[in-house]
Amino acid sequence: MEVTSSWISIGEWYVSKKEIYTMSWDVDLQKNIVIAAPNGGPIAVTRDRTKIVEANIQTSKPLIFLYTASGQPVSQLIYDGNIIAMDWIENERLVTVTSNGTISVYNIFGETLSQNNYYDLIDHEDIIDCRISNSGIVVLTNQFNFYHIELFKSERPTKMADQYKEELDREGPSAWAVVESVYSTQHGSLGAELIVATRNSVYNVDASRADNQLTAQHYVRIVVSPCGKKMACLSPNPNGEQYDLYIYKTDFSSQLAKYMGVAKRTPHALKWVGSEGVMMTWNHSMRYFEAGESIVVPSHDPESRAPVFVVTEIDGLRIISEGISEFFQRVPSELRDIFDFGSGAPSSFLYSAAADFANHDPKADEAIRQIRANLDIAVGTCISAAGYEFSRAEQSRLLKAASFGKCFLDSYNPDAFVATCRSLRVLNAIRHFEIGIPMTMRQYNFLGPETVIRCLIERRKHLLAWRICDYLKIKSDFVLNHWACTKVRTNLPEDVLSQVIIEKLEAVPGISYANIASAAHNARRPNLAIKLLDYEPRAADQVPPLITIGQHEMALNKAIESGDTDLVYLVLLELKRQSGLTDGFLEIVFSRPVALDLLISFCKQKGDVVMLKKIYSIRGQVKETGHLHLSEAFSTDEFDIRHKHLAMAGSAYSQSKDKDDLVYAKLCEDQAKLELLQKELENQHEGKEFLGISLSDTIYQLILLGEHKRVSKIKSEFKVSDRRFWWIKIKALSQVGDWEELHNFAKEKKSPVGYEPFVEVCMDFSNPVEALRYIPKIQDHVNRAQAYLQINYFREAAETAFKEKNLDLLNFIARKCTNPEASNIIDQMRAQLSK
Amino acid sequence: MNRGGPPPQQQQARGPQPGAMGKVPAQPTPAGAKKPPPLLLSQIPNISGQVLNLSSIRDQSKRELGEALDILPGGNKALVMDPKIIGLLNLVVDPQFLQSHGAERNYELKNGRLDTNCKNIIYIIRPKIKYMQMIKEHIIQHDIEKQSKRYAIIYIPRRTILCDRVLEEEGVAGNEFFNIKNNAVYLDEDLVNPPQGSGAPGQPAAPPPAAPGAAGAGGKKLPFPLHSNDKVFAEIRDTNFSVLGGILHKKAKDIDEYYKRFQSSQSPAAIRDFVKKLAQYQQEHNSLRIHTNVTEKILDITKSPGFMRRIECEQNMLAHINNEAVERYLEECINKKDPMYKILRLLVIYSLTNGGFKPKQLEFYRREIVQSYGAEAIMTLNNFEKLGLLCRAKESKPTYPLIKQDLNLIIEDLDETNQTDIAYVYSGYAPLSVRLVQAATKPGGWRSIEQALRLLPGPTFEEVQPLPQGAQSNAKSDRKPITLVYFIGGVTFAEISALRFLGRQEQANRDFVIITTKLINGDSFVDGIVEKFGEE
Repeated sequence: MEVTSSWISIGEWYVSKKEIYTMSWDVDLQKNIVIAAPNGGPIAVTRDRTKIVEANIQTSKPLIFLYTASGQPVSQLIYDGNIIAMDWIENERLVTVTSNGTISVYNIFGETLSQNNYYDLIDHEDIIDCRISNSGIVVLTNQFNFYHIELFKSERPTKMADQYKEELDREGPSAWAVVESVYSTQHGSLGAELIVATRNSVYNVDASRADNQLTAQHYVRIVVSPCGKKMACLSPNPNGEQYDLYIYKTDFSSQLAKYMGVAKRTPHALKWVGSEGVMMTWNHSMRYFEAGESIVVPSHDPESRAPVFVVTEIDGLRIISEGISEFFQRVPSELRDIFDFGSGAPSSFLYSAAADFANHDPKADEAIRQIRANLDIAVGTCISAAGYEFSRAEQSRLLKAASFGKCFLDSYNPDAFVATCRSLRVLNAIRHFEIGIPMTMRQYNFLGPETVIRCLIERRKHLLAWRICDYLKIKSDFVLNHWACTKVRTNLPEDVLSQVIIEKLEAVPGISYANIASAAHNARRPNLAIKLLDYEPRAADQVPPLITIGQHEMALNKAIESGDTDLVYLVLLELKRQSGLTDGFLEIVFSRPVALDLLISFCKQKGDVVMLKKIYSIRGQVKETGHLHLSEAFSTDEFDIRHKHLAMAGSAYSQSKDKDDLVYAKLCEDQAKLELLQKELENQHEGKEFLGISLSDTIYQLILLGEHKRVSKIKSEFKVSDRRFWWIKIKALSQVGDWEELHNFAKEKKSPVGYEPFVEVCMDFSNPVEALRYIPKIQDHVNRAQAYLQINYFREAAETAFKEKNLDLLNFIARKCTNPEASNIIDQMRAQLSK
Repeated sequence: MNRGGPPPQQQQARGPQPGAMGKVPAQPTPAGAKKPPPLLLSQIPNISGQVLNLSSIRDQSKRELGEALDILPGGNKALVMDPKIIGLLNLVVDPQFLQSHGAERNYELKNGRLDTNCKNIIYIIRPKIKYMQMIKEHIIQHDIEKQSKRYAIIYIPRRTILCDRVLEEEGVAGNEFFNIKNNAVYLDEDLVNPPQGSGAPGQPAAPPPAAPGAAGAGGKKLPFPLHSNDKVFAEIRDTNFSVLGGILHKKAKDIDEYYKRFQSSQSPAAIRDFVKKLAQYQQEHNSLRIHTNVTEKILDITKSPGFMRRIECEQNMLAHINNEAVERYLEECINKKDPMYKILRLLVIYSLTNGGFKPKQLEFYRREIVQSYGAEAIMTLNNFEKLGLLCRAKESKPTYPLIKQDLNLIIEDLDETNQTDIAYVYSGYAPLSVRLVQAATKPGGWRSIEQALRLLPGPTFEEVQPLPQGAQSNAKSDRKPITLVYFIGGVTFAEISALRFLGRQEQANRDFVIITTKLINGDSFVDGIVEKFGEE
């Protein structure tokens, strides 16, 4: 068929009306209403309740039938209540609104995705009109209030400003529309914007204000274009016999077109064709308006009296009639360039040249030479034109022409060609009548492949979706995931199900199983859910559902495997909450060391001593029990409590089979003995604090108090080593500055720690004179020399080194020496040793 | 160090002399030049020009924090902060930022009452159970006193189920509570987690000698941020303490000469040139003065006989020689009751290098410590034993000498001024962790040190992570590879310096970025293991 056969001339250009499907349905459009989704979306059909129909069981049921755009039945649903409006929103969801404020959202299978009642939130006002779009729903109530309700959000409906109200008569607003653009990415983030027409004027309304736009027209219909920038307004002309059509910018900045006296009757539909023109329909007749021109659009079947229904697309209009479905649009300039009669465009020459070439006609060469200079443009035009075509044969001819032209170009970037071929292949697949999505290239580019694939999986066309992913190199795990979720709801036996699902999904590393498991759980297949969860790679997605299903032990194992302590706690605390500290709970925990450690750590952080003791006593962990008592003892200053816990700790340690732990028992015993002694000391030395200080400190304090007898008793009782004892005593005596006593002590017997400590404490208190009493006693001659150096006794230091014939030491002393007289002597010694 | 310019060998050969290095030239005030500007260093380190663009991550943290603070709308906010987090916070945001999000007062979270006039209270804390209990006390107190407040918690690094549950059980997880998950990451320059406070990197496992502050006029302590914004610090931070004096001395001389040059030449061109560079020199001059003061404090310690004996002991243990002297020294330290953390650190090194203690020995130290430092030490020692840091010798030979040999951990005759090996950071001991990194980045990788790896505790493995489906590598071919070194549990400044040294080596041909869960030193490491009573 000729491309131009579907063209209709209007003004200086063309529109086209092409058949895209023969409808495979059997629907009487005289008795029904048709509401189709844009972007080649599905069609909802319900009985037109304003028309009198012979009552039978079928017709009296409140049913909505859902079809694909090619008329393939998909599902049907029974609705409840008085539906005021229904329409499609993105992702092919059908929304219905009833007069008592119930908003329902369905998928193409008629399954309810959400249902909420807003009656309480809109002041119990009945809904009398409504517009449904991606940004939400605007309802008009019988009190003539507008509310904006956002879907899938928990916000309260927003009441719109109502300054227009005084101008309303009993009928309410004569027309109204929501201003929005399908291209906007942030749906409704700024709130809804309305155009509201009263009998005398027009208002621009949002949540905070209503601005009078001061036009004197009385509009009965206002429709905003898909781009949100233009609106078509229908107004009865003053003599009341005919209607005028005006096109304005939505901000009222200018009038774009007007058509006077265009209709005697109000049209059934007033719809935008893309954002360029407007179509009016009355039953089966149609009239198109664009840029000041208008034409009557012929119906494909002049015999039929059945009405047609139209749906606005971003780049045209779909016309749905009983027998066929058509796509109506302004003919794109690329197609005009190539196919218009007598076109002199290079692309037109290229197209015919390619055909000539195929027929071995030498004219081809001549044509190419003629357009040589513009060949790249011609190729580009043919590629674009192919994208507009629904006919595969024509796509192929146009692409061949482009490909032919490309041969004569040295460096033509093939990206556009390849991308178009790729997209067309996807489009042809989804346009097939069995799939039934008659999407145009522009719609496809607007939505993006991911959205299209999501539509396909929503329609359960998983295989096609998966192949498209594969073809376009898009991550396909969401397709498989959705497929599996759909699969678990079928009646297949569990073992078969788990096998097919795991087999398919295992090929995709990192794919999530958790939501499939949750779908299985919802479908009352807990065993399948458990089996699937076992494969979930992310513990954070795996453990919580296992708890929900009641698989606590498995949840605990998975949590432990993951190494995420927070998940382990999640399971442990849930278990504890459900079963308390029962044997069953403890058994589960005890058999897993990590869980046990974490539970113990939790108890310690919370200070839950009771639970800790229980755990240790059941497990026979006497050492830990001992530690627990020790820490209780050390956490208080009360002698009695400390004493009690020390005793208990000691007895716990002594029960241990490990010989090492007996050391701890002995330490506890010593500590208890020490504290008894300390208590006694506190009684004797009023105001002195002994309890809790160490044994060394106790001895030190007693030396300060001069209790030497007692000290030696304690020393032997607690087997304090001689060396330590000497250090304590040296430090204590120097502390009180009792240098005489220190000297006596040094003479008592040969020091087990040498005499360096004596020098050290003297120097700590900057007392070189005292230090000098001990330096000669230092045995190691290097240390002795160093000690002399410390008090600047250079000569004595040097003599020490000289006596031992230690030249290195002597040289070192020479460097440190600051006394010239001594330096001379040292130099002599050095000379003597160096000989 | 010493990149560019002839090495100042003359000064360094003489070695650091406390008197000589301490002299910073008096600053002349040339005509026309104003008084030196006060030393102003941004508290927030500059991290943009480094190997990785870390500033975008910091910006993200900042944004997240801002959003989290806005969860309670309006102003009149009191921030109650985890004491351990305040320092980190300073590296990400400044006080003005907090104020711009409505913060009026800052408090440190501690036990007891929280008295504030602010109506909104935001806690910025790590998810610790004890904090939950403190918060509960606050809420109950405010409730009893009929103070109407609103509360929010910002968890760093993440909110945990445990904390949620504790709040729930304490009965305060009501409607008035917001919990925010804030996975903030805090970064600085080439390492994640920044240097805070001072501490010369070269100290051999000794505690940081100077408090995070420099002695200002009149002996008052002033806080002083230390990071790469400070040119002088950037130059000295990776050096060993033993050469610190020499470097500062050289710097002082440079500045002195600069001033002298000005005084001798009075031509207009020379003066112009002088004034142009003045600000930079003055800044360095100021900074130098502070670092010189700090260095003197450090040298006071490192030159003391006590410190020398301790290093000797540590080096003996690491070289696995002179065991008797080591044991004598250990006992003496206990007898004279040196700080317990020091004893514990030395005992850990002893146990690790000797493959444990002889049974009698362990019992002896345990008794000596308990009797000297109190019975509370029983639990602490038990903690160390549980971690295997103190243990009984096994029948087999100690493994450390073999590891030491295989990994070349001890470098004899080390020239600290002319660094040729990472061992300079510990005056002759090469940190084992960095040796492993070094081996991994050499051709052949870890295969060449297989025996040593077998001797070290824990498994070793190599894993090649494939890019996930659809992802693309954005590594540019013309840049050096980046090696990310992650220290779980903590890293010391000396290890960082050693890694920086590796990164500077031509043959490494790679940049290192260090991530760590904590910056540690010997004392903070021990502190995490010491059992505490009554306060936790």
